[in-house]
Amino acid sequence: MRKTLRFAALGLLSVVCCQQLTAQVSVTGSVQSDMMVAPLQDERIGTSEYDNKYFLTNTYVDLMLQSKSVDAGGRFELTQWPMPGFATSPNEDFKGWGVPNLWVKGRLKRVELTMGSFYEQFGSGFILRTYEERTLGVDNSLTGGRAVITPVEGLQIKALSGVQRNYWEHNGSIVSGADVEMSLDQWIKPMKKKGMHLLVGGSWVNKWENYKDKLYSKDPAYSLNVPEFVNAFDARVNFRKGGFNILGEYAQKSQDPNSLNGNIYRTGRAAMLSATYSKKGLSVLLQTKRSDNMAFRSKRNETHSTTSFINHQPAFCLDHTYALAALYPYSTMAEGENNGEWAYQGSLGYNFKKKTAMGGKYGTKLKLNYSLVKPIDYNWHGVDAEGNVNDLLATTDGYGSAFWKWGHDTYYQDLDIQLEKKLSKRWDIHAMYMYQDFNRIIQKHEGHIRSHVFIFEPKWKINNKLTLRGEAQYLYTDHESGDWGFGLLELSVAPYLMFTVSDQIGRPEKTDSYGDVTHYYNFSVTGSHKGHRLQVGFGRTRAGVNCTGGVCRYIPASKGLTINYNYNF
Amino acid sequence: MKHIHLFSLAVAALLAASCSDISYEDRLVEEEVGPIVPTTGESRTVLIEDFTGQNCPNCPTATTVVENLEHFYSGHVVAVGIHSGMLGMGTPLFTKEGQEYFLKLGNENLPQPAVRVNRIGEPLCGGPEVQNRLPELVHTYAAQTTPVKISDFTGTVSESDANTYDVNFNISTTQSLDALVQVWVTENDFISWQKMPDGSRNREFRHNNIFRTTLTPIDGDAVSLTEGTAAACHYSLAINNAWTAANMYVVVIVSSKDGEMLQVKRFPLVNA
Repeated sequence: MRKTLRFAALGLLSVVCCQQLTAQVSVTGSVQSDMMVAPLQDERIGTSEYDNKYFLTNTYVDLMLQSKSVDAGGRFELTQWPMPGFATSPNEDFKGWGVPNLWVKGRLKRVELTMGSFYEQFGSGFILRTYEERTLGVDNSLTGGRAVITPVEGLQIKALSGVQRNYWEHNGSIVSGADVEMSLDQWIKPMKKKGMHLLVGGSWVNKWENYKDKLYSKDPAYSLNVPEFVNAFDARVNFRKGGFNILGEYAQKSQDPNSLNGNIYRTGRAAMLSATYSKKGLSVLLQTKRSDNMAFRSKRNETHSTTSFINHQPAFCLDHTYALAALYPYSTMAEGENNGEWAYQGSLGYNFKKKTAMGGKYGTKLKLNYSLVKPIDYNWHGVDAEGNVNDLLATTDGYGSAFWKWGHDTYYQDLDIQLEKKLSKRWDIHAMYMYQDFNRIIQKHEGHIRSHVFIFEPKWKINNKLTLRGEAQYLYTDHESGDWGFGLLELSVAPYLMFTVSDQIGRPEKTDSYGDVTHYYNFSVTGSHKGHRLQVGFGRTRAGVNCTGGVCRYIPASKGLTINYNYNF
Repeated sequence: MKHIHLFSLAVAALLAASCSDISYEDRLVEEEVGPIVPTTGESRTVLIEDFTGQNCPNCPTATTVVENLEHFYSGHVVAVGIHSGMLGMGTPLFTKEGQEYFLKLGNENLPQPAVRVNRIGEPLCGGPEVQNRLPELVHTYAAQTTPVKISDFTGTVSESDANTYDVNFNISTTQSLDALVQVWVTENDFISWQKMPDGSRNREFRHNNIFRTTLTPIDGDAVSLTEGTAAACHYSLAINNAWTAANMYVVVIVSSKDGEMLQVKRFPLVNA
C-alpha cells in the first residue's frame, strides 16, 4: 500500500503543480468525525469493554482537486480508537490511521484514466461493486488502474485491474475486469425517434489468487485443489420508454471454493428481472431475483463478515429509517448452509390529488411495499439425512438446487403502508403500518419474530423559526422478545439549531434470553451553519445490527457522550 | 475492425474461464495424516481445547473436524470440549469451571467455536478457520517429543462410596522441572440438543469430550518432578447422577510453570 500511495502522491503533486501553472483548480472536500468521549459502562444494557476509556473516534477527511482535464484526491482516516463495534477482538484490523485512499484521474477527449484508489460497479453489482459505507466500516476500493473509453456515442468500455483494500492492507489477489455497455437506440434511428432506449451490457471480472494456505474437505485427510483463477460474467438488457423501464440481468461465477461457502466448487449464479413504471402521481415497481452461491471475495479464507467482497448482492427490502421498523433488519443470505435466496419486491406510490375526497385540500401520498425472501432449494450432495458424509468427493459439489423451487420456511417478509399528508399550512403527518416476519436464522438463531409496527409522525410548523416534529412508534409481537416502544420530540430553531430527545423501551437480547424492560434514552443538540454541522448527544445505544443494502454489522451496546461533526467545503 | 477486437477479447476471456476450473476427479488431495512416531524419546500427545457451546451453530463443523483428527491420530490427540462463552452459557453442558478457564483466554466475547492446540498462540475462531487450519497444526505438533511421561493410571470405585472413584497415576520425566498438573474429567456419548449450521436445533446430537469437572484447581496443582523418579498422584472423583461412569475419561495435563503444555493423556475412568 505504501509504494502505491507514494507513487500516487508524486503524481498528484505533479498534477497540481502543472495545473496551478496552467488552469484553474477548484478544491472541495469534507470532514466527518464521529466521536465518543469517556464512554461509560452500563450493566443494564450489557456494555462490554471499550477500545479506549477516554476517547473513541471514526474520522474521515476527504480532499478533491478538480480542473478541466485532471482531478485528484485523497482521504485521511483516523480509526485507531474506533467507535464501538468496528474492531471487536480478535478482529481488530479496522484500527489504524493514515491515507489509504489516493487517486488521480485524467480526461482526454473520449478517454478517462484513473490511477490509485477507485470505486466501480458493473451493472447491478452482481460481479463487481466496490464502495464505501462508513456506517458499516466497509471500504472495498481497488487500488490500481482504470480506463473508461467512449469511442463513439452510445458505446462505453471500461477496463480495470488492481488489488483490493482490506482495512489497512491490500489482499494478495489481483482483481481485473472489463465492461461494455451499448445504447442501441443511438444507432437504431427509429428507436430514438419513438423515444425508446435499449441498453445492452456485458461484464467480466477475474480474480487471480496464489493461495498458499490449504483448504480442507470435510475430512482432514484430504485437502482441496483450488483454482488459481475465478471468473465471473454478467449480461444485462435494459429497455426504457417514457415512464416504463425493464431490466433483465444474469450473472455467473466459476468454481470458487472458499471459507464462506463451505469450500464447495458449485458454480455461482444470479438472475434478476425488474420492471418499473412511473408517471406524474404514480409509480410502480415489481422485481424478482434469484441468487445462488454468488458471494465473491478477493481473499479465499476471509472470515470477517463485511470485508473483501468484490461484488454486492442487493437485498430486495426497504432500508427502514424508523427505529422500530429497523429493529430486525434483513441481510442477504449468501453463506454456508444458507447460500442463496429467491427475493421478490413490489411497490406502489400514488398521489391523491388535492381537492379530491382522498387527497383533501393539499393532496395525500400513499406508498405500499411488499418484500418476500425465500430460501432456494438445497439438495446436499454426499451426506445422509443426518448430515453424515457418505461420499466425500460429492460433498465438494455442495448441493443441487432446482431453479424454480423454494426451500423450506421463509427468510423474511414485510408489508408496509405509508401515508403522507399535509393537514394544513402548519401541520404535516406521516403514518406507517408494517407487518414483518423475520426469521432469526438470519442472525443464526432459531424461530421467527412476527411483529406489527405502528408509526405516527406529526410535524407542526409553529412559526417561521420553530418547527416541532414528533414520532410515536410501537412494535407489537407474540415473540418472547416482547413489544417495543419509541418516542421522539425534535424542536428545530431555524436556521441553526435542533434539539432532540428520544426514548426506546423494550427488553434487550442476551445470548438466548431477554433482559428486563429497559429505557434507551438519548438527548442531543445539533447546530449547523454554512457547511458545518455539529451534533452533541448523550444516551444509551441498544446492541443490535445495522444494515445497509443487505450488508450488516453488529453494533454492541454503548453509553456516553457522542459528538458528530461534519463539514463540507 | 473494432468489433473484431471486442469479440477477440470476449473469446480470450471465455478461454481463461474454462481453463480455471478443476475437474471433479482432481479436487481432493490426499494428505499425510497420522502421527509420526519418534524413534527416540516420548511422543508428545496433542491437546485440542474446543471452547464450544450448544447455542453455537458453527460449532458442529469444528467438532466434526476435531473428532476426525482424534480418529486419525488415535492415541496421539486428546480433545476436550469446554462448553463456555456467550454461546455455552445457560446450557445443560455449561460448567462454571469451564467458563473460568475460558475467561483466561482474555476475551469474554471470543467468537465461537474457538479451538486452541497445545495452548500455543491465538485460538482458531469459526467453523471455516478450524476446518482449514486445524489439520496442519495437529500434524505439526503430533511429531514433537516431550520429557514427560504419564502412566500407570488406575480408576477404582472407592470402598466407602460407590459413586466415588479413586484416581491414581504416575508422572515421570527425563529432566527435573517444576510443573503444574491439571486433572480434568470428560464424558463421551452424551445425547443433548445442539444448534446446527442451518439454524435448526438437533435434539439428538451426540456430544463427545464434554468437560464435566476438574479434580484440581483450574490452573492445576504444583508438582516438583525429579529426573528418574516417578511422582505418584492421587485424586478422588464424585460422580454426578447425570453422568455415565462407563463413558467418562480422566484427562491429565502436565505443563511447565511458563504455560508450555508438556504432555497430556486420556484414560478411561472405568478400567477395562
